[in-house]
Amino acid sequence: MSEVPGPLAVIILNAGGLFLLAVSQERHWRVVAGLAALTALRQRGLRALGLALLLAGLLTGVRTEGAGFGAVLWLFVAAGTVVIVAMLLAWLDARQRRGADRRWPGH
Amino acid sequence: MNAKRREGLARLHTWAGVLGAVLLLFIFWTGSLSVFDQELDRWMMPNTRVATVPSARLTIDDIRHATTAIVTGADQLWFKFPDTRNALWEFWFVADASGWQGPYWLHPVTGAVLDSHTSLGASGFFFPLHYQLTTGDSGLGLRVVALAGCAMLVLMISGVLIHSNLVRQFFVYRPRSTPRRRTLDLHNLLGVAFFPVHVLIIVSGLAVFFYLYFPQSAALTYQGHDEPGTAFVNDAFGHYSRPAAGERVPLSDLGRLVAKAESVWGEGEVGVVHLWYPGDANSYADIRRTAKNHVRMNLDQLYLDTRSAELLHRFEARPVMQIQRFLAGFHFMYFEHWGLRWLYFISGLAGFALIATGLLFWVKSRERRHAQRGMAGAVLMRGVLVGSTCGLINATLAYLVANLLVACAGGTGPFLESNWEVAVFFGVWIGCLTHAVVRPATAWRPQTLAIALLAFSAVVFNAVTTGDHLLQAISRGLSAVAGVDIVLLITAAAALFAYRRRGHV
Repeated sequence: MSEVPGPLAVIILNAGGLFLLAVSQERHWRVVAGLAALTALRQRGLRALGLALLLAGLLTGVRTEGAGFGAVLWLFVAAGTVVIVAMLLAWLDARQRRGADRRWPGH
Repeated sequence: MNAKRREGLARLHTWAGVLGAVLLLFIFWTGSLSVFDQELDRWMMPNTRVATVPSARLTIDDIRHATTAIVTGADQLWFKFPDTRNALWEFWFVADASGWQGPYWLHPVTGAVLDSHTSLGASGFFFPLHYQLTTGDSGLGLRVVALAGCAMLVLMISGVLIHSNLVRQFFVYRPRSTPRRRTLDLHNLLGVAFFPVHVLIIVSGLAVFFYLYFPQSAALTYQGHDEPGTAFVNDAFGHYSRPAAGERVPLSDLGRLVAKAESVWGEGEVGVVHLWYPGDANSYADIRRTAKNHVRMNLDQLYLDTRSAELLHRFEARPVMQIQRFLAGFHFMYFEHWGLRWLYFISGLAGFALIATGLLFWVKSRERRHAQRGMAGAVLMRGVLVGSTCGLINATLAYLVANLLVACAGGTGPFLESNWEVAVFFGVWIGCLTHAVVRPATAWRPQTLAIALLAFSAVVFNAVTTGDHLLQAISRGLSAVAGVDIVLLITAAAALFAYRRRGHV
């Protein structure tokens, strides 16, 4: 059975890829980038990079764990990291709102 | 999708969920526990706790000699090799018409037959509950669980279809919103994120017993045979047999048979040795390959003459069965991959939370309207929800605590340890359900506190009654015991945190 780095690499690549896919959406982009515009080029770039990282995660899993374990591991990791990314974005959004409340109390 | 179709699917999703929630919660919970059934067995059966010492293990011939303390002159002997999840040899035998006797557990280093236990553990209780409920071998439970699986597929697909903004809300979770909104957000997030995983788990679960659901298909395909069902099973799963000669001969070494199998499959690939008519001139060994190194639960079999080691028959599953074996292996998880095992456990709990949040959202959406109209549905389902979630967790923890306390007291006959454990499990669950239905608005808090107390008590009782407290278990290399203790402590902490938040369900 493989060492820890293989699965860890899959987790990192999947998390990165899903995070980029998430922030390619307007509502999550605002949480991360504030007032900077999400141009069409940026959006396409984020999505392309996000998908590339997801694919890299799958290939890493297959290379380090074998085709069977690698594909199954990638699938389970992807599911879990969607939830983690969603929770992270919720936390960042809450932090941003708290920061806005401190800057403009009463608004 | 037009509004009318969406509304129809929403109604289907709602009512399939409300009617099937309790059974689905039960199946997902017992399935999640079954992911670590062998680890729970080690925790519940202290006499079988052995740290893995692979380099000092006895050979199969040493173990076969050790089994003479259990039985001599048996018609069949069955040996399962130790692995990283269970460091013990597992042994079964057939000596007469009463059928298979076992399991017996043998120490991998000393060959000692470990004290027989009377607990069902997790593999003997939660695992059968998961796929056949309480109906035993009748097949009824299997079919009910299969129907529930189909219902879950309908729920998941309809849930995705009625989701109004699936892509836009893929990563949305609003914890600071209203309780109803954040419950629905969590339900949607879990449903969408784990959709492929849960679909595969359910489809693979259905694939395991495919030949039982529609036996007529095998009967039609093999209708030229005297016993079409048997012919199908032999063709699909492999079979070889020859009668005993009735001539006694000295027992042969099993080690060289294992060596021959390993020369075909590779070192360490032998999982099970099943010896037919030991001591007979026609004795042969049915050797099965281990499933620990692949997702696929292979059917690789070698049949060797025990005296000459001649290969009598070799079987490997054909392409269609290879697919079924991959699906079965995906569901059974006989492989050795700790990271993946933990991900399965988390996914199972995610499914449990998915169903619970769905039912919770239904309750919260209708409470006010039902109260205004004098209807009891929402109130009743709130109680059912608490009893089926907190109550089920409490019943499981009470089962673990009862295991430790009853084992200390000893017992035989109707007071057998396993009977007490099962009685406690169902008694506590029924009690929690009743309590929750009678006091639906307030049952959640005391039952959450009970989870914290029971989980912590289980850790304490384990330390007191067996001496294997957490640090001791870690230092002895008892990773299963340590793992269960850690999960229990996390459960206690999470329940205590939830209780102290004073939130309302």
